[in-house]
Amino acid sequence: MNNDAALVDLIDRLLGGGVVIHGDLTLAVADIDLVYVGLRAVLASVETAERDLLGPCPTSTP
Amino acid sequence: MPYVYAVTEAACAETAPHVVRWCDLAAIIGAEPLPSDPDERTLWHHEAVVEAAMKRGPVLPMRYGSVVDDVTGFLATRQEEFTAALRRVRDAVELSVRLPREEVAVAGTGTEYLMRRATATALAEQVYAPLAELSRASTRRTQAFAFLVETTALAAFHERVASLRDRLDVELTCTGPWPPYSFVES
Repeated sequence: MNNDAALVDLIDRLLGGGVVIHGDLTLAVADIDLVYVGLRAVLASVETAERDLLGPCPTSTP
Repeated sequence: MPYVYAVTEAACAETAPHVVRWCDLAAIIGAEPLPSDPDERTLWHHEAVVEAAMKRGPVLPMRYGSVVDDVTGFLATRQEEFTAALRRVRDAVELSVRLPREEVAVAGTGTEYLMRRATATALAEQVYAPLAELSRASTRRTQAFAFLVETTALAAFHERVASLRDRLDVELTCTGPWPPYSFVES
């Protein structure tokens, strides 16, 4: 498995998916939604930087 | 306060290290919460515990950072939901398929941008539909898809990804098998 791709998918799943707890008897350890948004923003900027270095991706332009 | 990694069936959790059982359900737990500011290492640790449970039977992975005061109460109040969800994911795994990131229109006219968008949307559909056909369930965001694939259909799924990659000349990224993070809600 490609490591960078796996990390993006790992973050999307562990922080954006899974069973979410709610109700009085449970407590979430942190505001994971905010952590997720932050990490996604970092990853998106890294991907953008890599793409700019490599030039436009030929498969996604007509 | 216990950290919960996953919910599974009690019968499949006999050999798991830390477990709280309630009727036919079991929660895979850890005594210490994982850090609230996750890094690569702690995320993979959570994943490893869930994957170990997945080898023993169907699992419902928890979102990272789930700490539950009363684990038995947690299982009891959501028993029906968890039992139904475990049935839905039994003998299946999640696979991720991504298309290349869409180009942001920094130059060109609005029309060109819209044309690029239309092309990207058509391409996404050409990838999504044939893979969804092979899956028990599927979800999609613009460039990222998740498929719940029966373990017996895994080889056929990977073959189809490869053939779509060739036929459409598109760089598809496929990762997994994952625990069914995207299929725990009905």
